[in-house]
Amino acid sequence: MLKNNNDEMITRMAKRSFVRNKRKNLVLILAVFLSTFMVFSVFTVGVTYLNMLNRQNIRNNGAKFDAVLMGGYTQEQKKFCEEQENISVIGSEARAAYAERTDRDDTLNVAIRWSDDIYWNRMKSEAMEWVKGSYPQEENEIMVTKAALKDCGYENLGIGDELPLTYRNHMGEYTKTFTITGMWEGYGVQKAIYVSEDFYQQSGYRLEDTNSGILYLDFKSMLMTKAQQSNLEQKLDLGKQQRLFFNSDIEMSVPIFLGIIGLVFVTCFSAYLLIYNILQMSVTANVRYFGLLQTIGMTENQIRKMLKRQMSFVGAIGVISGTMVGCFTSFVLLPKIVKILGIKGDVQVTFQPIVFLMTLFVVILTLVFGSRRPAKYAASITPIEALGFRTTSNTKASHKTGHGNLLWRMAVEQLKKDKKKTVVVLLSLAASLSVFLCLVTLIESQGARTIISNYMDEDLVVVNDTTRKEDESDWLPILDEDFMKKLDRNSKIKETHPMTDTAIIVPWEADFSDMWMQEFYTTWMDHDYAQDIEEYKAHPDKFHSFMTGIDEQQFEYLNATLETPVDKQDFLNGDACIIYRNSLSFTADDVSGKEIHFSIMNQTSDLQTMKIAGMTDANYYVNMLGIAPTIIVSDQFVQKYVKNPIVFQTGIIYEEEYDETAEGEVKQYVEETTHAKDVSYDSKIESMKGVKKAQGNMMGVGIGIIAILTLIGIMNYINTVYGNMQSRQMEISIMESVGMSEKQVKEMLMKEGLLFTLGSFAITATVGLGITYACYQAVNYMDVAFAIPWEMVIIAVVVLVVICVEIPLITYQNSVKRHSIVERIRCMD
Amino acid sequence: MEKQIVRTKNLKKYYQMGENTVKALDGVDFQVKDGEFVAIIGKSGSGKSTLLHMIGGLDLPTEGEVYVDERNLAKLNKEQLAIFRRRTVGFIFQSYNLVQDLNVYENIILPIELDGGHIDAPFIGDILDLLQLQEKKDALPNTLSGGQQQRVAIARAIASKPAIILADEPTGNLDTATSHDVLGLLKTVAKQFEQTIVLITHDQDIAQLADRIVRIEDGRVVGGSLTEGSESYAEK
Repeated sequence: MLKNNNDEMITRMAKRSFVRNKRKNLVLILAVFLSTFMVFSVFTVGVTYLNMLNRQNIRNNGAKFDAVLMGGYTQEQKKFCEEQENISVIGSEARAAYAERTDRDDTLNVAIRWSDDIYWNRMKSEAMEWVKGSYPQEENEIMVTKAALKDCGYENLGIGDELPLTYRNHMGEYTKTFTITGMWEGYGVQKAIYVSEDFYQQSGYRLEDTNSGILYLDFKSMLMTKAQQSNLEQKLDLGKQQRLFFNSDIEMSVPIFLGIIGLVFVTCFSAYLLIYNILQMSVTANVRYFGLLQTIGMTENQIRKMLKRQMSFVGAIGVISGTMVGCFTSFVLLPKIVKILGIKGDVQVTFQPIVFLMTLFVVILTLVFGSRRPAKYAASITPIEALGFRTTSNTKASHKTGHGNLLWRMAVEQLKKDKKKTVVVLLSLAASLSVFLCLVTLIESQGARTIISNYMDEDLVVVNDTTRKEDESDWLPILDEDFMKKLDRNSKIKETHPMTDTAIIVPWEADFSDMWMQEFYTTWMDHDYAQDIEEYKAHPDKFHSFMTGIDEQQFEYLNATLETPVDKQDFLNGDACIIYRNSLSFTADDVSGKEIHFSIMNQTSDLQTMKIAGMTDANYYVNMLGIAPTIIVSDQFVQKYVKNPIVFQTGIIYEEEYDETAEGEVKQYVEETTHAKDVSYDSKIESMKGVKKAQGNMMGVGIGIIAILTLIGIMNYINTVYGNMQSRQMEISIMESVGMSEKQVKEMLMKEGLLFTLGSFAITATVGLGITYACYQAVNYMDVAFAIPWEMVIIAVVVLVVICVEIPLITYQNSVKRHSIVERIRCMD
Repeated sequence: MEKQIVRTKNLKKYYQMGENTVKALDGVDFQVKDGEFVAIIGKSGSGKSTLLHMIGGLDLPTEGEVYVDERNLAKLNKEQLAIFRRRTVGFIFQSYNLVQDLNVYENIILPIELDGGHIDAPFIGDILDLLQLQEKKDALPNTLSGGQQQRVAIARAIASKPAIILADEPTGNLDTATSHDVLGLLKTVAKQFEQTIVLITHDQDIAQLADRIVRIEDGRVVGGSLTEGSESYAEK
């Protein structure tokens, strides 16, 4: 059978119908436009964010990799990685020597490294701006950067030139003249000299050595769950000194991916609901028209085709305009958004065809799914059905007489009448409210996470930066007695908590210090304790550490965090101390009860002995770390034992939290000292301002997302209410004719609106809250207790109530009340 | 002197249609006595429905006065008119005008519920019995026949014990046999509950069921007559 060429006629009818239903189609176009814009923006922000995060990591790390195994690696571990399907690239790098000096500079800070082909060509090359020459092949060849040459005092050398250099490796110290075979510039460590494999082989280092081998891993997938990360770590069977680090983009990949998918899903779902709802209403309102078309001979297929064509007009206009605005916004606003999300430096937004294709796919899929059922329904209407069609979907034959308030009953009945439509609107509104709840909870929780900016939640911590210098003789008494007295005299200041730091010598003894050193060497050093033990016994000052003095309140705060509390009097009297664990694998039981012997520098004859009463991981109490144990003692003991101890920092608590005047005055006291530039601050006020700014920015992005979803949700609600009002004109007129007053009609409509609010709130309070909780816990690395920001939620609910109540009233005023009751009754007859 | 439930005085209703003024009612003086069954007949567009709307407080006159149960409707505001309708008037429309979401019983008691009034269950029961709707009281309107729906409309009109029932072409959508049944029941109910009824029709035969017929043409009352047996009915 020959196919009828009726395409032109169908297109013409679709066009006419499209123009005739201008209002509805405009809403549809707006829905498609907003969805396209939203999906495009979410995808673009997501992809750009991940790309930028990736790029930032490549630049920071100086190479492209997702994880790095440090502290040496075994061939078994490398082999295991090679067998993993998810690991696509495995590169090696190793320390080959320490640069000691050249004839022009004897304080070199240049790293001498060897890298394998894979790391150099596939990982490091990603962070390079340019490379000239080739990677060294011979034992006396090197690859350098300008910065490395400058550090050696030979900044004018180039490829082919020679560099004389003294270096130290595992075998000893050597001086050699190297030929420069290549140069490069890029990101990562700049002061680096790369050597050949031959050189490395002769260095005496092995890849297993803690201070030599580094294994870089790049994964095939951009996504890796926490479980997969721990699994890999477990299977690698890491040694005590080995550490596996994941880059932040892979570490956060799953939450970011789920966030993007979640937003795209909610957007598409809202758009689907709106498209479905409008089309269904439009078809229902035009049942007679579709029946008529069938009466005059249009087939089901042709009706479907006509509706599809109409939707393709809507889709084309919506998708094109949405993508255009999305593109424009992306290039203008996206750099700001990505920066707000934590990317530093210039953000480069590139047009990603995949993003465009994904948007197109997702939106068209939404459009097809949204219009499929209404089109099917329109095509299934028979001419006879159409003639007798009345807009009621109440399929029940009877119901029991209701009790209670008539207006409430009628409002409930209205929602029950077309359950599908009610569910669609409720879901649409709940989607907006749920996304709001989720975003607001996440953004607000950022505050709680960072606002406690320091250990004791002090308003300000003033730090004496000179105490960070290695040589104790460079430490200056900036936070001296005069300064502390000024603070104490200030009425705006409630408490001050100075902490002192003093270098100590812990001599060798067979029990505790020996046990500590053994564990310290196993964990942190690249050679055995046995090699140094004699040196330690002879010159314990070379292995010195530090003693922190804290006041009574600080002790009480610290003591509350310990597994086994320490006797206060013993601590204050100087009979007991607390030890800093320094990541060693000791438990409190291993050290408790043991004794530590120590003296301060240049006072070795005055040896002190103290009982170790507890152990802490809180590095707040540590200024500098040494090889021997760092101890925390009472300030009373320090005052007695140390002459003029240096205060390394003081915590300050104001009478009134966040008192900017008090903070200004403290900073003024610092300015009055002669070493103001050597003082830094950790201010709660500044932290709070930073958090507020970040929250404000995040809130801006969040509000944008919420606004679009809310707009879609409200459009859905308006359409449903408007459609309802059209089909209920008769019902309302009947009730008015039998004596329902305008006030009662409005009250009934308000109650319907309230039920919609209540319904969407119920969905949000259950499903929405559940999703929010799951999202929250997914990113809650700091274990901050889950808390709903009630103020924001109440505001949102009030806004929703106003919208849900006002829209039916406005629609009633504009549609039903436009005609007098007599006119409406005439229409009925 | 017998109480007059409805009294209109020089009642006028003009509509503006573009540049033309349509005189739907043009100085109507009309009265209905308590307990009387009056039929208003006239051609389509003669103004009979407009008159009914004025008496029912659905529309306000351009000029003149309408008194129903001693109340001047022109002086009532919208809210008062709504209350007036649910307390004083019972409507029966050609297209039944039942609320589709409410069952038969709920439709019948709707005006009482809207008024927050007490539902006289035995009285409603009597009405349901009389109109043979007892078995259908839980049914939704769309499952009922046209005749049954109009019976529900009659029950609703009577339920609030209004001062007057206004019926606008109540059999317009029914076949002849059903029309006779419905009108028979309307008359029986009116008789039993001593209801005043104003019925609009263009059918002379139906009008004969009333005590008195008022003819209306071009917005004016042009004549009236008592029907057969009307005296005995009025006396009751």
